[in-house]
Amino acid sequence: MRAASRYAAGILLSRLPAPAASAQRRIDTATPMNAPKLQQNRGIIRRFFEQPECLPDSLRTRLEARWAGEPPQLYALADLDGGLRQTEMWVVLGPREIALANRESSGAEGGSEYAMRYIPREAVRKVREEPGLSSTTVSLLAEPDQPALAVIRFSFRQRGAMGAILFVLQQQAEGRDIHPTDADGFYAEAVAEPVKTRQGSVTRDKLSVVWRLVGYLAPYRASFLLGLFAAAAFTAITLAPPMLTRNLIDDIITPYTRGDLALEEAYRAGWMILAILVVIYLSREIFLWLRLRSLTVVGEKVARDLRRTLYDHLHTLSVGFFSRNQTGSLISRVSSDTDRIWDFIAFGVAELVLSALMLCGLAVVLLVLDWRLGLVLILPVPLIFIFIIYMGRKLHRIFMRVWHRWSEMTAVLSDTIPGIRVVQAFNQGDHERARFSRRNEAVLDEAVLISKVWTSHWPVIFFALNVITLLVWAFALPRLLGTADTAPTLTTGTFFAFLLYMGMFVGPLEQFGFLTRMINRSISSAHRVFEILDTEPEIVNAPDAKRLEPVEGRISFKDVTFGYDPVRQILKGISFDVEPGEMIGLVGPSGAGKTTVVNLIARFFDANSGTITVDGHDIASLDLGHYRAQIGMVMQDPYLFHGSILENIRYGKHDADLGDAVAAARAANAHDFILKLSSGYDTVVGERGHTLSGGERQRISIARAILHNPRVLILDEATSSVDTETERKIQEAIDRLVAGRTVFAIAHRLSTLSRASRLFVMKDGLIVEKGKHEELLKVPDGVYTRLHNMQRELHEMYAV
Amino acid sequence: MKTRIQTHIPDVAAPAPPRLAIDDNGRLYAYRDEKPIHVAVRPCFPWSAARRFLSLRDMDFNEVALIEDPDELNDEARHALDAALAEARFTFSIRAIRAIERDFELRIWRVDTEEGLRSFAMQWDDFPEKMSDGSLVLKDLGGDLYRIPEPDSLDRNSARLLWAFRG
Ligand SMILES: Nc1ncnc2c1ncn2[C@@H]1O[C@H](COP(=O)(O)OP(=O)(O)O)[C@@H](O)[C@H]1O
Ligand SMILES: [Mg+2]
Repeated sequence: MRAASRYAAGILLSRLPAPAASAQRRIDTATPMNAPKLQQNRGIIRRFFEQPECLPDSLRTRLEARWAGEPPQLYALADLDGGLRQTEMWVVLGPREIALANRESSGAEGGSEYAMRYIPREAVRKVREEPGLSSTTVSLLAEPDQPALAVIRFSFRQRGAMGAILFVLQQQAEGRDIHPTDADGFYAEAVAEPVKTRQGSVTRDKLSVVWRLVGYLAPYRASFLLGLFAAAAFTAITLAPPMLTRNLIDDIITPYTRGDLALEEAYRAGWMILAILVVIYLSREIFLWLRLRSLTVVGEKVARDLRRTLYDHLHTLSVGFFSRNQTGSLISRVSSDTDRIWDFIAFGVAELVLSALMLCGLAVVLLVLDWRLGLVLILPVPLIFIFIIYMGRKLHRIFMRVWHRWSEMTAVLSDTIPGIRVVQAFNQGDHERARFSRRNEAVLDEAVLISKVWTSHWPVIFFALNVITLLVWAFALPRLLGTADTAPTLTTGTFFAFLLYMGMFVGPLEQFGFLTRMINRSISSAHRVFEILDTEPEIVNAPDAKRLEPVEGRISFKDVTFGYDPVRQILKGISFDVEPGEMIGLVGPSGAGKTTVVNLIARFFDANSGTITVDGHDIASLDLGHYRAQIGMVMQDPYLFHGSILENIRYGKHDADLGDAVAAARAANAHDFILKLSSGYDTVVGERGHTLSGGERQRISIARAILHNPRVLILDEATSSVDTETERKIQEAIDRLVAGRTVFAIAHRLSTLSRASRLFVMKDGLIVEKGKHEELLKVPDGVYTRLHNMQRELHEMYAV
Repeated sequence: MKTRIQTHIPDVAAPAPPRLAIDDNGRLYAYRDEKPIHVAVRPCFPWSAARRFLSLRDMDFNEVALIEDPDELNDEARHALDAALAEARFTFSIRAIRAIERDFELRIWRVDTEEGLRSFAMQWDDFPEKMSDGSLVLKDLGGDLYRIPEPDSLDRNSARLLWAFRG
């Protein structure tokens, strides 16, 4: 739930500027963005931000002329000036220089004039970024603490595009050349990014959402049309009984009381009408049944199809997507959103058709019966509609307020209930109760407001309906009775039928308010579903993906850079070569980028620049599924699925035989503790299952990795949160596991890495030292030496 | 600098305030051993006590000084610091709201700020946050902040549009 205002200040600060995290395009991508995607990005920039969607042509022409025809490599907009007013200054990265083009507001005769400045790229030796609350100030420097070559200020919106330029400059200062080629694509993507990650769908308006949904009905169109036909038939038949009532009165009762009709005749005709009524009511219910049956089933099938497509698509998306989206929200899209779509197809569509047909049918029937009275009844209806719509809007605005209050109230709950131990330990119960009570009262205040509007509006509507009734009476009476010198022009039967029809108006009108809300909700649900379907996988198989049989495990990084978002580079140029069968220990302070390196090895993400090769092949050219099957990972906090221990051990290899599973568990030092559980290997673990300790789960995941028999093994702090005894057991298991594979092991305790063939010491996104334990210790004042000494001291101080 | 009132909290000494100056580009310098080093100002409490406890950080984010109260500095240093602070605390400041549009899950705000016209997007169920000084702060999808300093003195149309979103 959303932020609560008492802690507002804290929340604004703690929620760091939302990183425009997403599929980061390679800065030096070889292929320019395809046209539809570029257009989509530009459309977003126009609609949401009203800022230029690309570098102005005049400026581009001018710069290309200056750069001998070479296009800009990258560009970005610096939208704040020195006085922090909005401005339009383009920062354009050329092949050898950076152009700063400041738009002068007093451009001659409407044309844009730019004040230009040029800075040679090699002059920039250092880039300093200072983020503020909502803007960033960047200084391009030749020397630290000297006056800057240029100072650029921009709002966070421009961070992505600007970040890429700064990154290239930084890399250049460190001797690495990057040649971006798709300036337009990169700018458009970087600016549109935050909107696209929140709203990935390409469907832009409600009508097209409905159209897309209709597409899913295609396979079931026969049943769907049958349902609609049944709904229409039902409506038509419903209109008949009042007509028959009129016949009964005008053609039978009146003539009979006047003596124009014989008793026998009258009975015969009366029974006849009754018989027709029986047929009418019977067939009406048959049509109702037909409609409900076919539409609910079609709705279920469409919902099933959507769920399947959606879940299939989720599996093609990359790890990055899942870390950006909350699990809960993804789950609700597959479950409750598809359920709302079912609602819509099963009931919404039919009810809508029904109400509309009913209103039209009523109008026609009434006009045919008696056009003057008909008009009295029909003309005010649009006014009532308008009033209902107006009321809906007004209520919606109040609903927003209630919803706001509501979420503030529930925020207290989701804050304090999990933290109840802290609340009690600091004796803050009274404080929290008061806080909750305040917010609870606030909900009441708004809810009362809603009831006020609500309760004052419905009587108005009903009164309006009553007024119409009165009008009908007033117009009908003189014509029913006639005047002194004119005969009656309205028969009793017609008037009676009118009164019956009038009652039928209320239903569809009431339905209308309810239906618009339901349909709107379903359309949002459909949109949320399409949004995921429209999210493109970031990591995809190359068109002619290779399968290495077998993967030998020679892994090389060359000048690899990577950031989870376009702003902050995490890996700043990593290079290494690892031979098959080597065990590499990755060490360094937390946040250095160790996990990030192994994430790239598993290809959960693609590098931003540089190359990663496996057995000499670019990792991007390998068949993703096949390659990942050769990699085993054991993490610090391993995930066990709901299921038996056996199923968890066999997760990567469902058909492994029982003997192998036991052998793997034995090798992982898990066999003994598993047998202590009363159901042994059949013990159900995971959510709602038996709770295992961290060390036990780790050993099961090691068993899983042993059974899986990967060529490349990744151990990410596999032993960091366990006691010494368990660590020893896990260590033994790992020792058995690493034999004959390429291993990357990350550990905080250096002792864990004693078997490593080489150690890579990481710091701030770089590998600062490489070598064997003994070699690294010889580096005076080295990072590794310091880590080692520190741990030895700690060990001596706290050794048990 | 005021001496800290003695409390039970261990006092990790903060460095003494240095001489401060600002250059034409608006960059702040502190003098260490008469040598100017470029510093950035990080307010400890940008919202609740914006002009107190200002941390000055050098290129490597080491603390050069912690200034509890700029008013105790000399004029030049204070001016320099205030200018740098204005930049560090910059947010857009909304003067009027032109329109608030719904776009499925998002809401587009079209506003008139002190800095110029601007449009930005928020999640539909994201609300402005009410700050202790009565102002409202909106955060857009890209992380930019938009402040409505006095929500009660907006023009009628803006106030009407804002009504559904304020607390
Ligand atoms: N999914 C992510 N999104 C954004 N930033 C991340 C993500 N994962 C890690 N980081 C950041 O990347 C940096 C390096 O993280 P990591 O590779 O996990 O470090 P280490 O494993 O060495 O402790 C950290 O600053 C961390 O905040
Ligand atoms: Mg890690």
